[in-house]
Amino acid sequence: MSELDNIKKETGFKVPEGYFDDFSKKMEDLIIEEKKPLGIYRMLKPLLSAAAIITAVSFLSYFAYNNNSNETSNQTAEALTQEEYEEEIYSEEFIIDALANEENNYTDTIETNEEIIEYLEDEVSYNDLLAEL
Amino acid sequence: MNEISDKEILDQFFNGDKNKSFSLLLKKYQERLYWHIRKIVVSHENTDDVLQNTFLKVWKYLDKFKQESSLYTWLYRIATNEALAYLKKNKPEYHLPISENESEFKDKLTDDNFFTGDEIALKLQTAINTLPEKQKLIFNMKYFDEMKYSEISEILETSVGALKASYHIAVKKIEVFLKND
Repeated sequence: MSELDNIKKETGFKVPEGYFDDFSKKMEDLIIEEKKPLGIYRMLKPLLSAAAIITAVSFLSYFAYNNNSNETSNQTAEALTQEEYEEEIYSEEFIIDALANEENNYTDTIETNEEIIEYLEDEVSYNDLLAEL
Repeated sequence: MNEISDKEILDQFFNGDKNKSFSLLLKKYQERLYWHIRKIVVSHENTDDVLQNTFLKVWKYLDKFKQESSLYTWLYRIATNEALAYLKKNKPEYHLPISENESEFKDKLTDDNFFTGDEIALKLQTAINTLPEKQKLIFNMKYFDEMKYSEISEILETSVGALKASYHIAVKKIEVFLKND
């Protein structure tokens, strides 16, 4: 019997009374806010952002080109609007990639052969393996 | 009373009343996603923030949901992504040495009005907090939520074999921690 088998399986976390009823109402109100017609500033914000980015990139490119005229670059600056950026990051593929990259960044994963062997040895006895050969 | 199916929610959203279908989706998933997020970010207040962000993203992108995965999987992925992003942005003890993390974490939990666990629960949460984030996720989803490995595999895009091995190692680490603490 392991230590975990001996203890009660509870997180100890509690939630305030009535929280979920209040939460539903709060979200519905937030959604209504989201759907309100955009003010002039909110409407123009993506365009202003794009214009600012394009201006900044053009300026920097001009500067870089004049200072480094021997360099050639095939890169083109892409200005994404805020909407396009969020759409990209919340596509299913991006979420999958983000989580896959999280996995690759962890040093303490089961990617070493030693850890896999250690795990397998716990589950399968050596004699059983030899008997199957 | 039978729970509404994901298919009905999506049919309602794409062919009927978007607001009504979103209310149904909230009712069905808010509690599940709350506890999933809570186990990642720990405090109730942070969970409330992340849960709101999650459902705002769901509302914004549901019409672009291609149904290549199940609605359940898609929701859990967004919630997981939002919770991990929140931790990266806000976790103050993120860069502290492990020993300082442990005592600071224990103190925070003890002072938290929405943590009412006993000494064992406190030890267990402290032990879980020492795990790398993804291993913590896997442990919580398997141990507390009792999800099938196939479900976890879809949500985290990790093979069942890797999940089993990671869970096995997490269990060993926690048991050592509980014995020594």
